[in-house]
Amino acid sequence: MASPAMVTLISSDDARFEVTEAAATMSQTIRHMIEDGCTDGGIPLPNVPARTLAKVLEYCNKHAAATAAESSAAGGAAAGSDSGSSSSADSAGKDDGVDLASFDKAFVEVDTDTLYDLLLAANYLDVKTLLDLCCQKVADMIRGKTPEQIRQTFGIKNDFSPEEEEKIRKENQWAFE
Amino acid sequence: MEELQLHPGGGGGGKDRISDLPDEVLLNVLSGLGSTAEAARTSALARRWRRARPLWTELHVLVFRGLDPGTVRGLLARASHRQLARLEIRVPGQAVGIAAAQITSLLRAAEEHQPEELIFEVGGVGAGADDPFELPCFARATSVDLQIWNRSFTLTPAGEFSNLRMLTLSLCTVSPNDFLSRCPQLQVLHMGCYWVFDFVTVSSASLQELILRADVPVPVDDPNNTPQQLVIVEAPALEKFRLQSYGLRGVITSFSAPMVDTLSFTFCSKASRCIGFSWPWRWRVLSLSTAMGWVTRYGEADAVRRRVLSMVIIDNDDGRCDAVRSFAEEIVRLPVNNFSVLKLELRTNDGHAFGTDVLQLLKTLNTVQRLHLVLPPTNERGYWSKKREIKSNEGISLINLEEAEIEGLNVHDHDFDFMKLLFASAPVLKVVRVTLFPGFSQSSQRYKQLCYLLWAKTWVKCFVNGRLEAL
Repeated sequence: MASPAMVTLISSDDARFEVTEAAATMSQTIRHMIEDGCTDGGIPLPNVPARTLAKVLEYCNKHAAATAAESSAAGGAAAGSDSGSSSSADSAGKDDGVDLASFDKAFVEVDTDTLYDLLLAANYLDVKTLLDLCCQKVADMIRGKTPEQIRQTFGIKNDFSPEEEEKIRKENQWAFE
Repeated sequence: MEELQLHPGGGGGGKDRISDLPDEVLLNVLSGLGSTAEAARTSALARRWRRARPLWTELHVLVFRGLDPGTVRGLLARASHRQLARLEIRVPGQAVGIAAAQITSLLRAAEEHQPEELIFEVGGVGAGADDPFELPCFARATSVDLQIWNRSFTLTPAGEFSNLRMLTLSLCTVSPNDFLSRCPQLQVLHMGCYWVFDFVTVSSASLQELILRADVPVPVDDPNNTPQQLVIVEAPALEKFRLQSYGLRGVITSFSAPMVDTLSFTFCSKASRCIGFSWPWRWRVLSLSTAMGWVTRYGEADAVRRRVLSMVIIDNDDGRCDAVRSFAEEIVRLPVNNFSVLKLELRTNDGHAFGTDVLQLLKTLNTVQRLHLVLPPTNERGYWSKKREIKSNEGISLINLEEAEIEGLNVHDHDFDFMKLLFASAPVLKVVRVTLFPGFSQSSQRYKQLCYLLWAKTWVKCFVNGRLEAL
């Protein structure tokens, strides 16, 4: 089998990362750059520091590899005319699913600063599944809390006057019931 | 939360970075909350979260639970997304009931947002349930789930549910024919509300899966004089059918569905299904299902797909059971045939004899390759037959039977008779698996008799409680 195509990514602080094209193109932003032929001498990513890029690439490598394993398993099952083999391919796919879910869960068990860095990077690089994963993590941290508890969790400063706050509560009475 | 406090960037006095996130990221976060009310509460956090237009109004998934119809209508008017991915509205029941006109206007407001998926629930007993509400045609919706207690609806005069693939109707009282012609792409229909009709026709060219449930038993005045309900299914593309019934009325189904291959009937009602001729007793079918399943034949490595028929029957001493059919008639009614595997589980309350009916069923299904019989957990001696003995030549010929599994064999006289009949009528039998009645002693005389019976058939591999029995 031919060795996979590689691309070089350059972080905002000039660190170079060599990754497979399959992993790199999980980012729509990078995919478009490759399609436009802007890959000579590496792809500069001026908005993403090395520390965050390394983390994003850990995610992309894992998911790209899982996607590849899944499609080769599916291809194998389709190639084998004996339908008895399909059950083993099915179960392999399921194991991968469980594996990926626990990887994702562990992946966002990070401090809030790292989580924001990941959110901004995933948004800039346009890695939809990673962006959704991080947003869901923030949502899980908000869910079930009072406004004051949410402010404390995220360090949000309450810049309303008491009168304004009362007015907003009234406007959104339906949501506080 | 504990974890957050360990990290300096996290809670308390840390810098507020969440408020600096771009709007589209914050919207994505709010979508993840799964509750529009919770999303709206964030506008009380700080100015950034409030803005001229609260962030929640731009969400593409809206979920309103526990609010009255008027409030939800007001909120929908504020929501700006015109093509929602999902809209969920759950209105609780009210003491006075919710008027049909209110439901109609709320549904119209919902339709303006063109949801791809709609979940719409109205709780409680409706005021003037005879008064139907009007359901607009949600042209963009692929999935609609309506749970509206004891109401009927009409459709708007024009329009189609042109993208609808899946429709779930719970508790509404409406006949499928009133809407199916307006759902040209419908593949899956779950109805929990056909119960009030004496007969229902389900006619659709696109339908692949049909599930009919009776959600609540409707009391009938006189079960003996209440006609059975009739369900007629005309669906050329139907693959899967499931029926679950409760209450005191029987249900008869009739199919014109050549593609169907997975069927399941569950009868939880007393007088639903009575079959068998062992007068004065009747058998009641608790469940009957057919499906294609993977079966490994004895001595072969590869599983093959075979059609399996599974039935659970129970004796019924209830005099209300008038509509009696034989097993054969019941099986012939099914839109599938050519069963290779029969799984029959017998249950009994009163130790009624089932020999005649079981043998009759075996005559009907005389081409099965595998038989799995689960005997009732009873110590009653005469459960096969009260009077006569089972003769080895009951006119049964199981020409393809290769494997037989008998669970709960109690090794009474008639058990021997049945085993003898099995050997005599199945010329290509290869394997017999017997699981003995719990507590049956393997040191008893009867066990020895069983072994002698099995040993005599040297061409058949016999397993008792999983152990190969050989001389």
